[in-house]
Amino acid sequence: MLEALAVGLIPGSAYALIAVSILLTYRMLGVLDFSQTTVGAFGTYTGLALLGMGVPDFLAATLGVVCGMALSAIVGVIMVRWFAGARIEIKSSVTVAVMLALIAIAFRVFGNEQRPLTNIFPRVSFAVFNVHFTLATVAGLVFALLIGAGLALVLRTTRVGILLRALSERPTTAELLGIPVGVLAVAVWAAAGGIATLAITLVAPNRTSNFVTLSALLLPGMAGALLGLFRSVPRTIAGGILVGLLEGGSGYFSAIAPYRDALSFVVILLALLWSQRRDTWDEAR
Amino acid sequence: MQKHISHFASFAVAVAAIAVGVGLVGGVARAAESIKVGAVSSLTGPMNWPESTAIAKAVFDRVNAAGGINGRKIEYIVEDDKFDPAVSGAAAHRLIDQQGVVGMVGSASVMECAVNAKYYLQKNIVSIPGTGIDPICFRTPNIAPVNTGPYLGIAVSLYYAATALKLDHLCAFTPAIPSGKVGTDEAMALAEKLTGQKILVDDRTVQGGDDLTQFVLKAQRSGCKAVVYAGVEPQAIAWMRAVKAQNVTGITWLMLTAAYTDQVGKVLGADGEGMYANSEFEPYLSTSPALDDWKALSTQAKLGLSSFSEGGYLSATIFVDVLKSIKGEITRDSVTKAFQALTDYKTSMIGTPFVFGPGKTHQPNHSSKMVQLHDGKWDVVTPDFVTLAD
Repeated sequence: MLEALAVGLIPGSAYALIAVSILLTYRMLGVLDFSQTTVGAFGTYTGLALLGMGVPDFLAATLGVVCGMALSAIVGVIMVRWFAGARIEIKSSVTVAVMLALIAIAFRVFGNEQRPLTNIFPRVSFAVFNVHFTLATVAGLVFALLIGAGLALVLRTTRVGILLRALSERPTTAELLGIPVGVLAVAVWAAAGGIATLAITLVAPNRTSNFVTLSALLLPGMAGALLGLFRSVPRTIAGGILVGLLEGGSGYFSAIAPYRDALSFVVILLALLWSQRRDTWDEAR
Repeated sequence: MQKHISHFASFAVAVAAIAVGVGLVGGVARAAESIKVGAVSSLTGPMNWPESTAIAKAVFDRVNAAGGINGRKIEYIVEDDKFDPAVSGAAAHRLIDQQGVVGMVGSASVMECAVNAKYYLQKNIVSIPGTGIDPICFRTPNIAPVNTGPYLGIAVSLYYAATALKLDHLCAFTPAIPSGKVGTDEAMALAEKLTGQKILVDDRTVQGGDDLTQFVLKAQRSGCKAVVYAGVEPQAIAWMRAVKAQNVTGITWLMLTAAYTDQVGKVLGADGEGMYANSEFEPYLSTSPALDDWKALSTQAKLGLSSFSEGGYLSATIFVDVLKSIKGEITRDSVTKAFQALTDYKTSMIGTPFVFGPGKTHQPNHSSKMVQLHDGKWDVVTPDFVTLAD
């Protein structure tokens, strides 16, 4: 049973990071970014391509993250330039289009071949309840916590944080007040892209490394953000880890193992109902 | 009266001349008309198999360069089903109804057989896939793949582990694809019958993008001594990485033919040491003379070497030989009839003769050779094909 929980932490740490990046774009910019993991995968694969050309592991991975940030910033510029006043549905649909376009481009650019992966960390692992945790997994968890804490700190105590909160709550008013809304928005996009790339770079060794499969990590990431009710960072991280625990742990119970995906859906449904438990009937509708 | 007759006569002569002229021209046009051949493959999408149709085209191009078949060139039309059943069905309709193809050759798709088998039967057309994947490919009257297929591949691997490697506690992990149930059921039953052992773990819940750690640990926990994992190339790599990360030792790992590639050896390196895979055809990395022509053609057409490419080459070669054997006009019906009469096509690229025949199901290739990874390179460990009795 404990082994089941421990196994779940491995994907859980990745989902937590992805969930945080999705929360970032949602809270700050009012967009549900469906292209987050695709951008992350693109950045990761750029890093892998550089690795294939002889660039040392750590540098290749870092450049991959930078590429992810740049790509996400480009998406941000598109959003700010053309979709600034649009509704959340429109903006989110644009990110879907970006995701599809990137998948098609990635297929042409990176092809189908399997590639050796970056070894940023030495091959050390330690066992917890018979499950071995590599340094990459631990790093994923640590980064999720650090970024989450850092985000909370920035938003609450720094000037930039206040500007960002203004941007998210009243974008038009903020703009009229002279806050550089466009620049801030693009910065948030870039940060989210960087976090997503980091997440995928850390998790790629554990999973089928295929561009579309890595992009599909969006779903458990969003499930994690949803479990955190898209509100606070600590809850989002917990949500991501919980999704991982459900996925990894349910394999231990052969009765429910085939229904793993449905299980996440049930949990999300329960989370949503629970969040609305205090609403009266009319409000909920 | 004379005038009428002469008018009528000249009119009749004119008509006759036109008729003969049209007949001649029509005849010439028909002789130059190409033989249309189709294929429906998953060329793009999360999993894809482009190798089979690429080499099949090279085979047909070579035939055309040598003058075609009875002066007719082969026109090979390949459709991409993009991993989408709706697109797959539409593609088959287009090829058969609009293009009028006489046969399907070299298809390699996850679902094409399941989607189109009934239509092929209805339209009396045969399909010789280069890579048959879903179970329906091996269970309908009009489709006969040249490859062993994943389900028999699982059975062969388990059989090899039990008889040649003398292992017990056999386990199998297969992808969670509902349409594969009938194939997996049969594979497990066959394996149990041939090995005399009960399969210890028959796990069918591995999803495409899963973290494979939990399955590797399950194999360890359950006491498996030999594990067959039916994943495609990137999944096989992820599996062995998880094995290394979790420090699992004492288990023999067997992958399917999708893992038998040069890249797997390079990418895994020491992590894949001792891993087995089954090769549905004469192992492509070996120097067997059976592969000489295929290798030469691949080099000439600037195509890479792979196990799946062998399938495309073989299916196209068999098709060309059957076309050449047809006396009379080459039409869909005559092609189908010729295949239904094909009962013993010998080729050293597979372990059993290719048989189509009049049967209701076709599994002509029911053997494999086993290969093993050492030092990042593949060695052939079974000099003879491991053939399963049906």
